[in-house]
Amino acid sequence: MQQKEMEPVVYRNFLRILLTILAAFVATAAAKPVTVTADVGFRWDFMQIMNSSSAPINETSDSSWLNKFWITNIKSSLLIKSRIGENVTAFIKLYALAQFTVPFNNNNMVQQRSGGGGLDEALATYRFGAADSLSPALTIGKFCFDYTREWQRLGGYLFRTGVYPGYILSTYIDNRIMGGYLSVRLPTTLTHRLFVTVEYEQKPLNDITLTYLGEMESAGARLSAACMLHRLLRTDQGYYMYSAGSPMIAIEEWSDGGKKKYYPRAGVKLVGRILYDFQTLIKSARLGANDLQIYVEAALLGAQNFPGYYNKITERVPVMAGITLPAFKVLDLAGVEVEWYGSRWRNNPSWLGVPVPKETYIARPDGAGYVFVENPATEDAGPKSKEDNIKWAVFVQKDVKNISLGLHAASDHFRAPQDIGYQQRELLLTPREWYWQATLHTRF
Amino acid sequence: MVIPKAACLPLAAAQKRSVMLLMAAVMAAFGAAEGEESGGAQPRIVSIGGELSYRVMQLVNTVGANAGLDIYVRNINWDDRRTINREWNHRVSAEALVTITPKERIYFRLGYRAGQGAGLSECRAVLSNNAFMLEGGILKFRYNPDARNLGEYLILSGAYPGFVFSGREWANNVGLHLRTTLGPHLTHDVLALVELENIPFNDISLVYIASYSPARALTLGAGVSFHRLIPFNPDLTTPPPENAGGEQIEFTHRGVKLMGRMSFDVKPLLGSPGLFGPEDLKIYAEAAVLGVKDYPVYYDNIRERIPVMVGLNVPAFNILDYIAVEGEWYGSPHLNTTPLRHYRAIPIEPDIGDRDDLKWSVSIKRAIDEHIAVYGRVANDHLRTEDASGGVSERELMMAPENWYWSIAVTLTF
Repeated sequence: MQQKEMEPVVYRNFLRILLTILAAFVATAAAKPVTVTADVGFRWDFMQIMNSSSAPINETSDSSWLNKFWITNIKSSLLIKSRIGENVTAFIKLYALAQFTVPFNNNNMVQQRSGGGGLDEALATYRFGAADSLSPALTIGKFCFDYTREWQRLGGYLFRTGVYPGYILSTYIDNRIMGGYLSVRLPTTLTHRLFVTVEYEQKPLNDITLTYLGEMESAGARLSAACMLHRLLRTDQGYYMYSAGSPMIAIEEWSDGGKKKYYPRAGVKLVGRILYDFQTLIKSARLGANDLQIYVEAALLGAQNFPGYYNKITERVPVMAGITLPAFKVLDLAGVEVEWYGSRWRNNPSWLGVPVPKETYIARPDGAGYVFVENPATEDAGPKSKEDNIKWAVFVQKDVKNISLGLHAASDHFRAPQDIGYQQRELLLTPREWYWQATLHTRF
Repeated sequence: MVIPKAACLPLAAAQKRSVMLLMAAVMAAFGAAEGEESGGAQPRIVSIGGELSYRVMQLVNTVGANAGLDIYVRNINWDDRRTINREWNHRVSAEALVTITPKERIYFRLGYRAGQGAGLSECRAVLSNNAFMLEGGILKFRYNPDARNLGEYLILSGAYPGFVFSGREWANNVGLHLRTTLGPHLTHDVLALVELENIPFNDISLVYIASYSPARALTLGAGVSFHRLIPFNPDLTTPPPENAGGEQIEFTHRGVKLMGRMSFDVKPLLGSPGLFGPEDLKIYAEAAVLGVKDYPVYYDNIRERIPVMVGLNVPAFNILDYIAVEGEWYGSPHLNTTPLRHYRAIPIEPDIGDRDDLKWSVSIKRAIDEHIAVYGRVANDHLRTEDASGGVSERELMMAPENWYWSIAVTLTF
């Protein structure tokens, strides 16, 4: 479509949105048909850590305490969907959970039993104009969003990473974001999404992030590109949390002409992903719908260098690649993924709230903790900081009616589940450390 | 509807059993009252509804110590009252509602609310006809429909100490509620409530509220609460005497609370011009006595136990549904804390003194349609943070007059 042809469409969509907002303030109440449906979901995750050197909290020596450790997650969900009139849809998902997971503190050396319930997702979508998928839509709430395939184990970097430090979460962790996004298809093969999200998990909380995600699908290829202005609007809570003298939260600083500065935990994140479905070229009725897809994703977790911890941009670029193998409909999915991430530091969102990865993998001689990074410009976190650069995952899945059975083995960014979230520490530190997981999932 | 919503009840297993037993008793009463049905069984109608809410709040100025509105309430450091300026909070919450209507005049409603915490928001059985309405379970009850933020003292308060709340749309009470309209222009509410929010738990209170509306423009109301009339554990409701101020005094959390309120719509005096919205130009007030009896040392002056609120709906001319401006005076010399840890009244810090006696609130609402509404508020009120268990923190965040916050919420109801 030529630029001039596009302009009227852009203006029409913009006017639609603006008029809808203005009309809201003069609109009188009008009865709209409402339909409500309810589903119940059930999910059972059964995991076993086969090999992990991660020591319990407050211990530092390599340990085998997690070897052959079982983790169980049993989760039920109530999903309520509503359509109000032609333009509004709402979705509420409540959950109840029983969980046997890795003990969070050192005093409990057996499984930790926990449970709970609450809000899993809640979102509402307003579609401007005609109620079809081509119209712009505004979605607000707290919800899972993923631009990758639902079975992907690695990647999904856009909303599963931080900057300074550039931690990475694995995709098995449900990726909930809070805020909203505007979705526009222009032209029809190109979807633009503009997100305004609020940080509600990693301190400092309530910082606002602006993200653009563009996706194009054509001729069997799907291209995704995103730019995130992470923590663009930082609340005073952040600066308060990092105030000097706080006994809980230290500040890492570097000298810049004598002026004290702080690592910002904010920055620019770039993500690119491409997926190609080879069935566009190789057409066979024997192949399953997910067979022969190859995908690559890379990200830049912080465009700006900072002295000390973040002086090399190549250490902030995770790259992953995956392929789904021919399963010939015996299975619905079979795939392999690998990732390389050359960060020198431990992959944890924070350490007691400290905004930089101060801990190495090297135990202190007195065993009272890990050796701190003294000179981040020239040091790294120890030998494992290089060994943990490679991650891998293999997975299979079989769907029978509305029941899905999945099995995967991986050495990824595994973190023990905690309620519907996760514990902070990554537990698999080298490619030889791995776990397997079986999942039963159904909905009715 | 105002924000934030009332905390839902994170009931323990025993308390849930109590609620279910209570509901069963009410259902049995319904069955006896209804008697045999002639003909075949009526079909049960089940409807599902819900509500989503997104709220943004900023504590512009607060004395809440470590009062970050994180998911989990931090330990309040009583000696550390660093002011947290411009602290933000975003919250998404949702409520699922299931209504079962087995017969024409009976329905059961179950509500589950989740957001920062999670728990039952309502769980009640209702029987109603032209003469009365009887409900039992976890109730959503209000007697002052005009109060948007402040007020509702009779039930949403304690006695000895007389703590008060604000911003709670409903009082999450468990018990029985009977409403009748005996007498011209009169509405009577009789409630038997079980205390499940503030220690000591499980005490039973009896409440009577009467509302008199001789004309559409005028409503007068009065009520009495025999607070904790039937104690579950008398030693907790009335602890052993303590040495205070050099004398042995008895504390008790039982007491008699009184309430009076009025609501007057000025529009009929002006000829009810169509220029104004239905809520415009309403003046309302409420006062209460949180314990009529004096006790030495902490409760020796009845005037210190009388909160008074006044409200005015400023003309919004149908641009907004309402603009409610409210003010409250409450001369208690004690911290307005709920007794999570302490039974007794805690003297307020000297540098605050009586500066926390005055509260104010401006609340607005605009309904986009019958499903979507936008709410806004600016206030210095009795705001408390919500914790992960679905309850509220014991200490309020607004104390000095310079403390205030604002919030905006969008709700979708279906």
